[in-house]
Amino acid sequence: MKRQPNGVNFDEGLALQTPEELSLLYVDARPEQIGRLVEWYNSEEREGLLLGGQIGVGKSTLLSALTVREGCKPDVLFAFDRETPAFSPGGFWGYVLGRLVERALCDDVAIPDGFAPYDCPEDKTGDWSAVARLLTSFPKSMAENDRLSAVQSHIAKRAGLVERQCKAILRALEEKSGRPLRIFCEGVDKFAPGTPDMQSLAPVLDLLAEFKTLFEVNVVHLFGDEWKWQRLPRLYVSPFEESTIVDLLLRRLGVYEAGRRDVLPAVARFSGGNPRQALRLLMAYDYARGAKRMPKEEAFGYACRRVRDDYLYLPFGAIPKDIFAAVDRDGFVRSGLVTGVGLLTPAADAVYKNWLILGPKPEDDDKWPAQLNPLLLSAKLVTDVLPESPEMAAIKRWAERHGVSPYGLDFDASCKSSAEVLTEIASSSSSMDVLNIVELLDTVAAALFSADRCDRVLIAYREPLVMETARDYLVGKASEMGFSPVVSIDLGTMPAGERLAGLFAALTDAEGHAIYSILLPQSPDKPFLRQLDRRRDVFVPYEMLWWVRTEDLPLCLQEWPQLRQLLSVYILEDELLGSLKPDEVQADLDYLALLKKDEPLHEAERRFQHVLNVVRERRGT
Amino acid sequence: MSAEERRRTHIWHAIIRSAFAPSDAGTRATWLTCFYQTIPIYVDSPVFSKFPNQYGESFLGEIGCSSLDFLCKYKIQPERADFTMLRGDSSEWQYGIESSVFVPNGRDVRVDRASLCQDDVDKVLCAMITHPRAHLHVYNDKPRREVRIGTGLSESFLFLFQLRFQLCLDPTRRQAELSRLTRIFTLNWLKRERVISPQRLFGL
Repeated sequence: MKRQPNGVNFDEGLALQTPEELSLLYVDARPEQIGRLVEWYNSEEREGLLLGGQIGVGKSTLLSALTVREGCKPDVLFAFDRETPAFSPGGFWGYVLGRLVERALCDDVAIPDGFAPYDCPEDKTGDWSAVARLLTSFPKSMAENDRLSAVQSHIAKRAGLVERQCKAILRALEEKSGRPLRIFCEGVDKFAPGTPDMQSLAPVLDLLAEFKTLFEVNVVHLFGDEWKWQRLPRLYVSPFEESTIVDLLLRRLGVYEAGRRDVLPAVARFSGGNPRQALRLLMAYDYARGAKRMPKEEAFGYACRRVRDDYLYLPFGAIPKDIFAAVDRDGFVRSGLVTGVGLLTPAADAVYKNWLILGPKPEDDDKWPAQLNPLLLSAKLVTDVLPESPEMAAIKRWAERHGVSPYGLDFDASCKSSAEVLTEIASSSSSMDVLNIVELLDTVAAALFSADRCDRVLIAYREPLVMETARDYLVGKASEMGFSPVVSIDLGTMPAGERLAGLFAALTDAEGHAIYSILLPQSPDKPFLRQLDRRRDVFVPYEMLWWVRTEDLPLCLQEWPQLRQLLSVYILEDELLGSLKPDEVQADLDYLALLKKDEPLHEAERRFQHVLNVVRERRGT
Repeated sequence: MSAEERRRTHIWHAIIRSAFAPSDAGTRATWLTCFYQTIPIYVDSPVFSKFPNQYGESFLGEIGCSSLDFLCKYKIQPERADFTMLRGDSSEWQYGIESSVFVPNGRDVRVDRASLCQDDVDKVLCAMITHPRAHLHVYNDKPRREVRIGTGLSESFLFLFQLRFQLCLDPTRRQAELSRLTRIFTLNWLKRERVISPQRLFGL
């Protein structure tokens, strides 16, 4: 992502990756963890390491700091979330084999016996590099997808053989280099314990755990010991101190910090030390103040509500109220409640979804310091000890007004029945922004039409015609701004088994010139949604508008604990005519009529004309 | 008027004529489209509450910068222009340009073209765009006073251009933008005073 050396650098909380990003925006607040990682890297010991933390706490950025700033580059890198073509036993084993073969070919190491290119259907060349490419890339066509699936099922049937082959390649590579290979496994954190995907991945991780491998995992993985790889030494990435969060946000604001400096202590407090949550809060506040021109206190309330809705989705039926109440009372969570074999326990699920925020690793492993995410607390409790300033006074006024917690959940009120608590959650969850088409454009334009940003917006709709009109209107405006092409992808028209491959095949512009408009199928199946969730980071380079039916939104948010962090969610108002008036659309067309048109402007004209036709038809004019 | 003042007055008017006075509705629309296309490239956290639109002979739109809590609504017509600027919670000021009553501060003057120098051009660009002689500070509650809204009040398109410049606080980008402009408005250009297309003016 392009960064501005002195300007505002907002994004949805993406990991810093390049030297430029790290030099501009990285706050060196984890010297101990970096020291431990460098020590591990330089050691000749062939021992693995788990690097674990909660979502958005900065694990990937820490890994970038290790590789880019400290120069500790991996010999072999596995990005299981981003690069594995299929989350199946054959998919994972095939991916690891493909990556190792690439490395072996590069190092001139002979590929040991086992799976061979000739085992691939239709392969006549015996070319290992072509097979490795096939196993490590997303298919670009349906035919390639079919071929890859056939190879992966062949590999799955011979998993034991492939495992031995991978191990032999790793040993041969080590022998050749005369030292333990340093292997980095990114993206293991996207696979929650107990899920079918993790069941497929875990044996592969067990193999890699026999070597010098660094695993990027979620903190919930640190609690288990079901698999061999989970028993490795652990390095925990805890939330930041509030002062560090302030430093981090100041860097994001660049030369514009003066106008926001005073609100940063409150943002830091409500972030719970999670840098992504902090950045999202600041962005929402900035938008509310600048574009919506809200007063300070109202803007802060808006930011808390928006981030809570996008970032911390609370499904009505699955609130671990007893655990929340206990943590709120005790200030810790018992490790035994988070540990479990198979699916996540309710406490582990609350940690995985950032409803609970774990503190620094305790001496006593049984009582892990924890707090409720401040966005789920009564606002007044969070603001009580904030420093004094005009900004804080405004925020405290907001907190006073909402002390009973229409935005937060007052779990301190132990006399409430569970029905009352659920009613409170239900009423607070309905606060997600419902926007008409013009408001939607106002809201998403700054992010969507910025040449330097790649944002993803999820829009829920009830009426297909309103959605189509909104889509045409937004696409028309994007074309007017020179964004081209706008690629429409209707996943509902693809066969269920081919949706993922079809989506990835369509994502071809990583330069950010295109906007992808993706229509999710009606009643999407959970496995498909989970696939999208695990592959969250694949979408990072793309500008995207996702469209989903309102009735499918809860399911999406529930199944997207990872993906929803990179999305801003809005609900499109049903009413079409209250939003767009024919003379307003005609004004767009009149404006375009004055211009000498290139292809994007022709596209804009077509889209606005369609919008005008729909609006006129609806009005009966 | 001194010789220097005469030279700079001439350059001022030449720049206005060739780059900031789109003559017909089509050129105005093209100018505004180019203007909008460069906003997200140049301005941090830009606000687009409304894109340019045409109602009859009027062009309406809004631009701003959320990190400065600043928004400007404009309406440009052939005979007048209205700008409303909104800042923070409560500040709001509005002014209009009415060509029927507004008298520009001086007319173009004749000069010996051979006497013109690049330093004059640079000084004029500075006074037009980067550090207007008369200006309002948007950001005046802090030691930093870098947003200066001013010169150009009499020329609606120049006003939008200098506003765009001022809404970026990054000194590096400002300097790059100024350097780009000095490569457009050169002594060579002054000799013929060719019209600067909006695409060229905005570096598209």
